[in-house]
Amino acid sequence: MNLKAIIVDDEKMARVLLEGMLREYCPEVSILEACVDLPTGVKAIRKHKPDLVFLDIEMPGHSGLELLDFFDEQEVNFSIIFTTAYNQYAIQAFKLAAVDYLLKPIESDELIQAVERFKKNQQQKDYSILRQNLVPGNPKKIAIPTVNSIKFIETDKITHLKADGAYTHIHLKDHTKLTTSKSLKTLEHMLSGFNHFFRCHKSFIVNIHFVNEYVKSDGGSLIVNEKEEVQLSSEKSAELLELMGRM
Amino acid sequence: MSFADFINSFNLKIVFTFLFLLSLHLISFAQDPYAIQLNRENGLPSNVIYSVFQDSQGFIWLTSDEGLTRYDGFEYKTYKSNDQTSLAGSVISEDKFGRIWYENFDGYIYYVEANELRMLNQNVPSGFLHYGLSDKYIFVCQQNGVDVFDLATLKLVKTVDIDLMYAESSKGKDNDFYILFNEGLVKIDTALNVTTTKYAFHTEETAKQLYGGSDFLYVVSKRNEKKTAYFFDTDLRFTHQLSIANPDFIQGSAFVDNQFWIHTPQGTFIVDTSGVVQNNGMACFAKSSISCVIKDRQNNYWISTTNDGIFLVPDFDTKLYTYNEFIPNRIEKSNGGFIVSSKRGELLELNYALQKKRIISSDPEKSEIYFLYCDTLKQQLFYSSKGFRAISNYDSSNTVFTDVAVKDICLIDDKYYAVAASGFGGLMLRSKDSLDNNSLWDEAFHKNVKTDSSVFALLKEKVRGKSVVYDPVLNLVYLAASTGLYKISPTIVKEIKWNGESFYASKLVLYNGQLVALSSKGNLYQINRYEKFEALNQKFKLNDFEIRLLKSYGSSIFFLSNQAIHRFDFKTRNHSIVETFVSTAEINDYVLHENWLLVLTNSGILTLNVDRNEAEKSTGIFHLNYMEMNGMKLDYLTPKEFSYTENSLNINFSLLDFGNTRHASVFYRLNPDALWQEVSPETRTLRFAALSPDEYSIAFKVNNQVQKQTITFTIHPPFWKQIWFLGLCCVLILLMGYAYYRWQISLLFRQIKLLREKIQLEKSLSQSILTSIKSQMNPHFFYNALNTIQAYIFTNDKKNASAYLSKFSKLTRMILEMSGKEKITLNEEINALTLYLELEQVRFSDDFDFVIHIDKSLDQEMIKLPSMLIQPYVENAIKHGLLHKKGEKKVELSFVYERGVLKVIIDDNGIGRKRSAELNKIKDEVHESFSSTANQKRLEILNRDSTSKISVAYFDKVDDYQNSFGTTVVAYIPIND
Repeated sequence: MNLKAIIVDDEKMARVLLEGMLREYCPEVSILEACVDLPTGVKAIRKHKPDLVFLDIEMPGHSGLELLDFFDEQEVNFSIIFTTAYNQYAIQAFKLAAVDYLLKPIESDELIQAVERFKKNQQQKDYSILRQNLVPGNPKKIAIPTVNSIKFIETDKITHLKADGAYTHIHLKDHTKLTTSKSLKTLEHMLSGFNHFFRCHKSFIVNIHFVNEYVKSDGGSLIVNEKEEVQLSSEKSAELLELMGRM
Repeated sequence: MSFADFINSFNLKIVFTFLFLLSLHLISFAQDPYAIQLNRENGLPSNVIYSVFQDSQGFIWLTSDEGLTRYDGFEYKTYKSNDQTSLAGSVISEDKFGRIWYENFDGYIYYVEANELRMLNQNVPSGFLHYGLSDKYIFVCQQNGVDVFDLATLKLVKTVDIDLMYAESSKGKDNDFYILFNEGLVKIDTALNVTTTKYAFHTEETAKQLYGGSDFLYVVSKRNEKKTAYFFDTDLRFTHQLSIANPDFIQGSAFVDNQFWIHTPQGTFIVDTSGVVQNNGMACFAKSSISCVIKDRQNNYWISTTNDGIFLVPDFDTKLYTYNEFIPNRIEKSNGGFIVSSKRGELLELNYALQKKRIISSDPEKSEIYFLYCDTLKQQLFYSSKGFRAISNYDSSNTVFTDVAVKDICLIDDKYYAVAASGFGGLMLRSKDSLDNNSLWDEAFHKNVKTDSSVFALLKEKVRGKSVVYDPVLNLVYLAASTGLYKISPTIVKEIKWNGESFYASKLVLYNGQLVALSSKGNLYQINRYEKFEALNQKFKLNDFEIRLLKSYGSSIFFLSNQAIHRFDFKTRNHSIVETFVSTAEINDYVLHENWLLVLTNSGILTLNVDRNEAEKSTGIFHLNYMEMNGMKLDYLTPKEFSYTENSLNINFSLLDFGNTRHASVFYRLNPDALWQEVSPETRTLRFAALSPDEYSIAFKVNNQVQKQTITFTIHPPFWKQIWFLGLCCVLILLMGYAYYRWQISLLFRQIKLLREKIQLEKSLSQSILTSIKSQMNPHFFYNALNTIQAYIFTNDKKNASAYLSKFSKLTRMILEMSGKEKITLNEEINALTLYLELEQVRFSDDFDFVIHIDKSLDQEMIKLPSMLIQPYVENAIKHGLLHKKGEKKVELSFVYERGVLKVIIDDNGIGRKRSAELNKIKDEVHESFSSTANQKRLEILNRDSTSKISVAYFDKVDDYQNSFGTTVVAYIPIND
């Protein structure tokens, strides 16, 4: 299949490189236009209606993250792969929203995988969560795909997460739980930007804001959110206590 | 029966004959009752006394020229007031409220209330007519009648209309008031009824006075024209009249002891109710002008005079016989009277009435006669003054032994006396006519007869004899001498020892074989036949050393203590005390005659009745006057509470004990469990300077009589010694302890906080250092650079890739090296900046340019500055200033030296800070100016420890139309040369 793509990057050499790499490693992607800044990029998107947009974040004038502001929800019928040299903040948002991104210098394998992921999962991306998470002061939400929907959950409401085979149970403040097909490891990655989510056991991630009690017996366990029991591996206990002391 | 009476009945004729015959030849003598004289010399305010009165409490009040005075036996207190028209007055009385009233001779009435003299608010008085008191009223004579004042309110109630023009005298008596006129009497009773009686006195009797008796009134005229006293009952009925012969001027009268006392300028006549004048018709105290007589509750007579003060007579029977200059010191009974010697060597013979019979002898040298002995049987008299003399038949012919000083003589038998003399103890021949008699002591006498005299025999030589007694039963002579006490028989002399030691006696007496010895120290002992000693002082409740003048009469011994004459009867074992009225220290000698003790004092001979009932004189009245706390007079009746500062207590009391020579002792104790302490007799104020906080109940005792009056009070401890305060202190200490504890804790917390802050600071410092490194190595720049290299490689641009890579590696190396150093040279900084700018130039390709100006005066190798301080400003200039700009972009760097400061000017031609900020606002806010905040922090840290601060200034470049055309940043870096 042939994929239409647009590149937005202010640096000439970066555009040259990405074009070259796509030609080399992803021949199915045809570059319709390489834009020098965001306004040009928006025009090109409207003009070419690409499937994919490789979007640099660090650009003079307008950041790449502002792209979505130029489009309505319905208008966004393209997927974005963000490119950035270094932006820890943005990367955290991408992780929560499960949005693809590439780090410069771009590794060929990652580029290929990103394109593959797009091809495999072509359905419409929801960028609203990204947009929300990018607004400073908003409670940060995490996108959790369930059987038939994607749930957006405020991270502050998660008390702990428990692995159950390939699935993960997400326990919330109101004592309900949510089961997702994402692995605990994936979720740990998504939540890695938050200090208060702590992998306390191979099967558990705990929000330490909800830890009420540390029970020493039975090799150590935690009472979370008044009554939920979370296991604590002995080698993690010291780290946890130190973390909690710091908070 | 008085002594005088006794004399009268016994030997009346002889006495009177003697008196009549001898009185012309002899020096005069007087025989007034013994009186204690109160006069100016011993404190009386004046010797002119008009009246005396004893109040219900026992105090003596008197009026004199000085006004009204109170006397408590210790001191006089005169009450005066500015309202007094004159001080002198009379008519003292006490009302039922305890107020003391008196009237001055102007007729004005004053009273003592609350310890001060006040004036009655009265009308102009009608001369000196006496006021009268009843339970309800005061009757006061004024010119228009008798004013009746209410006693309680002292308000005028009524004026009884009586013409007082011719009133001669007035008198208040038993609630009624009487007025005497020439024509009769008027009575106003307490119901204010007026009764009038007519009685015609003789017209010559011009100055009649009305006096009160027990239940009657009597009238005596001053001039005593008719020698008559007129008597009326209290209903003004005339009862009888009495002839009063003697005085021709009567200045006052009183009815005391059921007798009339008629006061004259020459003494007072005592007349009984039948008109007989007492005292042999003679006036008492005839030398004095008598004004008033009262008898107090201790039966003392107070006789006030207008020239000699007051005579206080404890006992009217105790008379003092005075013989002008004659100072009697030794007395012996003689035949029909007494032989008395004097301190001036005179010898006097007195009859039993103590009237002088004759002078036996007088010594031109006036040597004191210190020993006198009278042998009434042989009518021989012996005495010692200068030498020893014997006088036969009491005449003046005498024998003198100049070398013998006899101290005591005692009759042994018809032939001999035992004598105690200076130099020996022995025998003395009684008289020449007894030489032929035989005696048990003949042999002893002849064996020891004194060589130069045939009169004395020396039984015990070389001793100073003091006293001798003879025991006829055992035929023994006891000799008290300076070397000891000896028992002398005709054949042997033996010492009587007391507990194996010599006993020194000054006087010996003997009764029924019982020897009584007065030791030379003043203690009395009884020594029985077995020579056992018994101390007697304690038996008589007397102190050691206070006994003297031991004598024996019949079965009784007499001796003096400091207080009185004591009598002990061996038969009845009765110990009695004879009041002497004078201090016993003044007593020179005494003799017992019948039931009378004739006591010789320097002022004369006192006659004391030994059978006088001692109980007649009650002990004095103890009276608490006031208590004074810290100088404040307080009533002592109710218990008081004081604070600890009120601790200086004075208690003033009176001991109303008049006429007693044996002064009563006053004791006090602070608490019932304390010991009695005696109050010094010289004071009537107890002073306690600093009483400690406690409860007190001060009690008093007069002699052995505990008084009912007590003073009860409490002195509270100071608040800091009270429990509540101590409790408070404890609480405070605890609180302070707790506060201190809390303070320490907070201090600890603060220290911890400081420590934390320090750690935080250190952390942020290290972080900022990290940040600085990061800022130098902006990862974005870093990865973009790498991305650029990757692009060169990917496009096979080997030359560019190589050049770029070498520059990049050079910069990274420099940065890595710098990161270890705090400061770098200016040269290094400029090199790094050049590399950085070159790399950026490649990224922005064609239209980016930069220039670096360096002041030539700058020593690039020597000047040091914090590493990569400038780079962030340059990066800012590019990122925020130039990146957004279209067309030619340019950065100009200048390093300038200016007065110790390195000025780094970063000048761009970008869009300006304002526009850049607007643009940045569009982006998310977290995406802030990375290097500016990091740099700001770094500057703060760098400036913190330094005195010379690095500062950065921004200048916006605007044209005439306010359009921005770039920014200039100037960093001022102080350089230490």
